[in-house]
Amino acid sequence: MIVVGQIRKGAYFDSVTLMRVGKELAGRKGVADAAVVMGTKSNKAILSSSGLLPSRLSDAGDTDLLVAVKAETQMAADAALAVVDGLLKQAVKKTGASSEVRPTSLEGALRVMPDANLALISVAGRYAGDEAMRALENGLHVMLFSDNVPLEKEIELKKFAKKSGLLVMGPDCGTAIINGVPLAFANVVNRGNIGIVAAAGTGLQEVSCIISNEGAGVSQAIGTGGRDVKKEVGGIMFLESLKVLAKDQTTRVILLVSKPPHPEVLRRITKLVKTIRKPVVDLFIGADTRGGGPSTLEEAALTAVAVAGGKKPDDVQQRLTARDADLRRLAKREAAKRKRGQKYVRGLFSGGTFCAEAQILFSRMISGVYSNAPAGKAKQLKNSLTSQKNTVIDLGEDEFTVGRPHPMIDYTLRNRRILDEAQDSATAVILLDVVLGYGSHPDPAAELSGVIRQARKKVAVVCSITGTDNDPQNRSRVEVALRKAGAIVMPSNAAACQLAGRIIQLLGRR
Amino acid sequence: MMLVSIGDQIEEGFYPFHSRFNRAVNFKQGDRLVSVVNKEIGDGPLNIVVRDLPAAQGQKPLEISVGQVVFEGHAYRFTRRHRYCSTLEGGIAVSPRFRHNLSLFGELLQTSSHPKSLAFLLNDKRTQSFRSGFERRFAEHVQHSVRQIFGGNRLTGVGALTGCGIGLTPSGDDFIAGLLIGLNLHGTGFRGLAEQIFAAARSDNIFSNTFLDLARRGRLFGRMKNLILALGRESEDDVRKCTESLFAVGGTSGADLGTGFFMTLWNGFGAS
Repeated sequence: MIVVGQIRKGAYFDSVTLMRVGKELAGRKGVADAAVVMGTKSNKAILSSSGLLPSRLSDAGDTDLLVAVKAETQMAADAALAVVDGLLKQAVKKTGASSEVRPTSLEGALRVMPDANLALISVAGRYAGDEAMRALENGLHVMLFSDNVPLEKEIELKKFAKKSGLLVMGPDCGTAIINGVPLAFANVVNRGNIGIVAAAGTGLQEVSCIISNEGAGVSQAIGTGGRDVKKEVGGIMFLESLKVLAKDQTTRVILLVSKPPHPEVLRRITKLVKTIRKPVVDLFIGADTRGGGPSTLEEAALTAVAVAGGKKPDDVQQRLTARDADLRRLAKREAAKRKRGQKYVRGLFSGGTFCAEAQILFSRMISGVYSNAPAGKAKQLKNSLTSQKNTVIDLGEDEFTVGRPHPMIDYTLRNRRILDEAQDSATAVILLDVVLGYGSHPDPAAELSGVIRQARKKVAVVCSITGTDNDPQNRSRVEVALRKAGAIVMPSNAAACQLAGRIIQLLGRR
Repeated sequence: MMLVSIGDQIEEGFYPFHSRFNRAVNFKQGDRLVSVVNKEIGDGPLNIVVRDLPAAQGQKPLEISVGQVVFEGHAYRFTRRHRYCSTLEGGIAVSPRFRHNLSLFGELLQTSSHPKSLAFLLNDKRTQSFRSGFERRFAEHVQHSVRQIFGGNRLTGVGALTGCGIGLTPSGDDFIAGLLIGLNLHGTGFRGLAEQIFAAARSDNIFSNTFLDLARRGRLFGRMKNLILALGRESEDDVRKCTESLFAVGGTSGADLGTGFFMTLWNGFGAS
């Protein structure tokens, strides 16, 4: 290992900037470790004990900035040092040291952008409701990203918005695409004639991406927040959004996605749908679909695309049936590679809707399904940190996210869990979702490839990627990298779950 | 530019330019800094808060005379009502309510602070955020130093913790400032100890020296003062709000300071 360093006399940066630069340097190819710190006596002692203190850095003083890099080769070390200036400039920009106007209040923002008609609110839940009301009073639609908004406040906001002819997306609305602009965790999708209303965040991302990847497009994608379809809120915004899309000139087909609404809310939705002259495709994940209609996010998206393209929904059925035969073959091949005793699937999800969809699909294929967020027939896990039989975990639940970023941004916890599950001799398949788009990790392949490569030695790793080639991460590039690492990449969460379920079925028959 | 407040520790004088950041312009007053800051940074004993901090305009000195600040060549008037009082007027009683709220503050440190803050000292699981070789060593070093401080080997621990961490004001210094603020709440009986700790923690870092000096003298910046006052009141919501405001200071600084403060009061450092 080569250790190199630089002293920058009297250079001051805040800790966020330095953390960011240190992480970027440490993540470079060929770099084993890096640190960017002030040259205090204590820091030099820590650098020294980490093997990161070349002798020339020992002279640095308290007010000097130290850059230390440990790399596999001299070339990698020099290359890392060469980019420090650029990274510092970039990080300073990201931490807000630019001179652009940054309003600190709603009123200030309206002065800067008087024509704005939507406010995206992301502040602590207990203040978010009041901010949202102020936005509504100013005639703005609201996307309320914040969670922990009291239920009474949500109802008050939505009633007020309805009366004012405005929309409130949320609380806890993680994604929306309005007039082609992706908001919060959203993907870069084609514009088109399919309008979406969703009370399921990653569900909306999945259907909008599948629609786009199929060559069709989205007119508007409106998230309502999961609580909207519960009895207390009564589906106020789900219904209002449906009315908006019914009137919208560019929307030809409407796609509804949600976990099962309260029966009373479902009755109101059904009643409203009957009055709409446009085709409406609906998926209430986990609801009884024996009467027909799509049963997965993928099927719902493909059906909407077919209808928008003037084709019959039956074409989708035929296509999925044909794919099912491929899945069976692939499952047989993967099952044959597993040792005796390997018999369970471990699903580690960053998207709550995917976790629910997995459980619903598994409940039709395998028994003994446990989850920290049970849906369908799955049972509650005793301890979310310990898997039981077939386990499906929603890593976006509060128990995993308090004090740390969402798993779509920070892969640390999931990566550790992947390796732990792979060590379990009963694990046969690890099932993952990888969600791309704005807000998600900028380079998920880099985060996942190493652990997949390791896990792949013992288990099958099956994953789906929710994203498009126009997303900042580029879906195709991520897919190539994950395949190269040994993952089996499926075109949708439903397909990934079906493959995993088939493998477990075959192993159960041994 | 409108002057919002001026700290009660700022004296009349002529102060040379030291450094400029996005939200603050710093000037030297002996071995400490007087800063002209925007409202996001807020009140402090050595802060002059202005409504809109103008873009960089050179490195002119700061001039303060009776009722007037001259900043970047422009004069701004101020009166007594602009003075920010940095002490806890009337003091604060460490009541059962205070202890209850302090416990809530401790929980918030563990659940809502920056993952790389020193709150891992309260919850081992948080060390998982320290992943690189350097970060792991850093966490071990901090744990060892803090164990020394609370194990009776105070000044050695303080010496080892000083300057520890990345950024303008290293995490270790922030922790020690929190410790000094906590000691001050225990009363005048710990003044001698606070002086010793300050002496052990002094370095060439003028930013750290400034706030360590203020902390040992019980001079509080606005967000910390608000938190301490909230700890003595009934409303848990106030505690949460003030905690959030404290955590917004720097990258990890607010939480590091809060950890030092919490551990000092919770562990009965002063009493031992």
